[in-house]
Amino acid sequence: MSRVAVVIDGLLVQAEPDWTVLEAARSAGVEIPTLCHHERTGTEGICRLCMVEVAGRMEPACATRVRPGMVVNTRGAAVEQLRRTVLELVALETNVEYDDELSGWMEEYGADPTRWGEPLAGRRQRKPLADNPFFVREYDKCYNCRRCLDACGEGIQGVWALAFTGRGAEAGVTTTFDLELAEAGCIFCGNCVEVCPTGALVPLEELRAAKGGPS
Amino acid sequence: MNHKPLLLPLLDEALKRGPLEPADVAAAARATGLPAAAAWEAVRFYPRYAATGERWLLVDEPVVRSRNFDSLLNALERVALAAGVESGTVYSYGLEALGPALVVEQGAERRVYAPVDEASLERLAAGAEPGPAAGLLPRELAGGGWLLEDPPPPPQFPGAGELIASARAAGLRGLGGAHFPVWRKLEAVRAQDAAEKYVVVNGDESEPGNFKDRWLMEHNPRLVWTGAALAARAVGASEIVFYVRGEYEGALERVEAARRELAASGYLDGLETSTFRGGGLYICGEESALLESIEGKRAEPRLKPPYPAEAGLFGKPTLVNNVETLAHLALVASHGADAYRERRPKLFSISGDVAKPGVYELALGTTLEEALAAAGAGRARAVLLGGAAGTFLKLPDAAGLPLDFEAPRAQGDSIGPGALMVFDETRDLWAVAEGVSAFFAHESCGKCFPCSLGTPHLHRLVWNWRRGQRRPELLHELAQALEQGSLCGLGQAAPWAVRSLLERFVEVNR
Ligand SMILES: Cc1cc2nc3c(=O)[nH]c(=O)nc-3n(C[C@H](O)[C@H](O)[C@H](O)COP(=O)(O)O)c2cc1C
Ligand code: SF4
Ligand code: SF4
Ligand code: SF4
Ligand code: FES
Repeated sequence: MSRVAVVIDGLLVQAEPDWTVLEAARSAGVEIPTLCHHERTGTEGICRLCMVEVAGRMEPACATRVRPGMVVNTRGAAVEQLRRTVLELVALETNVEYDDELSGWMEEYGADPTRWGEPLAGRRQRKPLADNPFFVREYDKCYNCRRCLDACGEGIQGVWALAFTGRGAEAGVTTTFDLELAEAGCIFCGNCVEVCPTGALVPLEELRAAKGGPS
Repeated sequence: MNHKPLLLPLLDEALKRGPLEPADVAAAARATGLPAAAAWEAVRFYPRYAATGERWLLVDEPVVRSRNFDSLLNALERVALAAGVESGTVYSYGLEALGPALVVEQGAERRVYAPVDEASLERLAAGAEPGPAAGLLPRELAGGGWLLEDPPPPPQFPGAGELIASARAAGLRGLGGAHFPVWRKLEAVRAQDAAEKYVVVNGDESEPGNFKDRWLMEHNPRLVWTGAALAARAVGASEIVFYVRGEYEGALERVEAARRELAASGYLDGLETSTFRGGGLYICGEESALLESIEGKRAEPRLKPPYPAEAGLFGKPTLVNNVETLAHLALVASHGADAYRERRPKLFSISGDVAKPGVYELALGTTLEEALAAAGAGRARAVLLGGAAGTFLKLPDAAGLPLDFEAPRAQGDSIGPGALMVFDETRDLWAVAEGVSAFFAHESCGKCFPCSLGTPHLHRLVWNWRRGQRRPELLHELAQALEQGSLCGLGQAAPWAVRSLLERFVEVNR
């Protein structure tokens, strides 16, 4: 199929017609920060960190297909301010101590979560859930990126042991009927742990190793 | 019916037998073909499946926020505490024209009273009826007009080409808020090559300040069904789902009764039709979230494209139109495009500081001043135009603004679905903004980060502002992040009212 010509940060990129703006940017060596997007799970469009400017409008690079003649700006004051605000709110409301990538972006974008005052979402108060021999779920560190949900359900595994609950700032991940993981049908395939970007799903071995105990 | 049974009606059936048990949810999931996880997500998303026991709830909307919300809520909390009943608030019931409203919730059942005052709360505490029941809007809340009178006999279907051409010639646009040309959407769904197509009537109307769809569903539902049937024939759909806001009990009954009557007359022959009780949240009105909720999922907006016209309900081409839009389509078919264009009718929900709050049919292009005069506004100083997802206009500056699709938009405003909430110079506009921002934080679905995390901060910034602690730079940055970063119109519009207040009412911001 014929390629689609798009301009990204002034670079002419010949994209495959089914590429997203993110794929096109990466092919040209242009980096765009992403939190929720994952190729295997199909997760996209949730975190809005990858927003880029297209003809004066913001669009999520991970969930936007290339269009012929598209002119994309992945930086610029508006984009950077938007990313800074999103990073600040995420870092304010979530325990981000395990996420080195996020810390790097925070520095890059000059993000200072303390500007916003005390957290409001109640996320940081969540207690770790250790209901199985394989991994702990520390939802105080969860961004609600939904990769685990997609990995468990439609995206990879087709098990649907995990479910999303609540609305707005109080929304979060639970299991079907709020059961312990095994009872909710989990087969401990480990896909959710593998795709979780934040370290909210921690393999017990790692925890033990980190504490210096036997693994 | 080309699809399996729908989840929410099954859950509602189970709810009649008592609080939902996992076994009920699992059984409903099996019947619908959804994973149990998805059914559980729905149960944990829609408020009515969590309701237990008795609660006394004050209806929170912009007009009462501008008046005695704080003191009414205090009084409610006091009497409820003494009575050992839980208390709280719920968002707008479309009763802004009647005055402050109270909801008495008993499990999934709700009784609504309006107007209420502090004496009503004492009566409630004493076990008496607190005020006039407000299950239906009074018919007299609306004056005259094509949409507000008994409808003409349902017209013959003129053929797809002619109906779409008339909608085009009439200049008919979507009246749910976005004003998209109706003919284009009809054409887009019609052009889809698919064996199954749907028409979905959007009667979710949950945006504070709006009640014209409620009035139409309660007092002229046949006109809406007529328009829906014409639209279905034009696009080649075989099924119509009429989605009525979950809390509008009276509207649900009247819409269903009208469906039966019209079906009995043969007008709906060849069409599968149903009345669907909505999920009971503002986000359910966003068209793709609405489709998700019919499918039994969390009402979360989909990423677009694809648009519903291409992949809508169960992935099939779907025409989603607002209640009022379809009523207009029926009128265009009855009266012809020329007669329609001469009137350019539009319903406005007018409330607040006016002598006669209600539903008004006015010609598009009526100036703000004329609209206010029609409803008997005294000394209006501000109008919240469109609804909670609207902007404050300042008077007298905006007096000459034509209320049409174009003029407000040219200055960054919009008539939206057609709400005018009027405030005189004694009202605290920051109290209104505080209520509006609380509404958005409460109604955020939780899907995208800027809105789910940002709307509570918007509320806190506005709350603090009203109490003298002002952070204009943060407010501005957050407004930008919400408007530009949010996935759907809810988060995008959340800062509009506050921002217009900052820009246009400099004197109250000092
Ligand atoms: C948060 C949100 C809530 C909405 N609520 C409604 C609603 O209650 N009723 C409605 O008709 N449209 C509502 N809309 C607009 C719909 O998404 C859609 O544009 C409309 O149903 C299309 O019909 P129309 O073209 O006839 O207006 C809402 C949009 C958003 C973003
Ligand atoms: S480990 Fe369990 S919860 Fe995680 S993806 Fe696999 S089945 Fe789902
Ligand atoms: S647990 Fe991990 S993968 Fe799942 S939503 Fe939270 S951050 Fe994302
Ligand atoms: S903007 Fe708000 S309501 Fe819309 S998808 Fe995002 S979180 Fe949900
Ligand atoms: S990475 Fe694109 S929205 Fe999250």
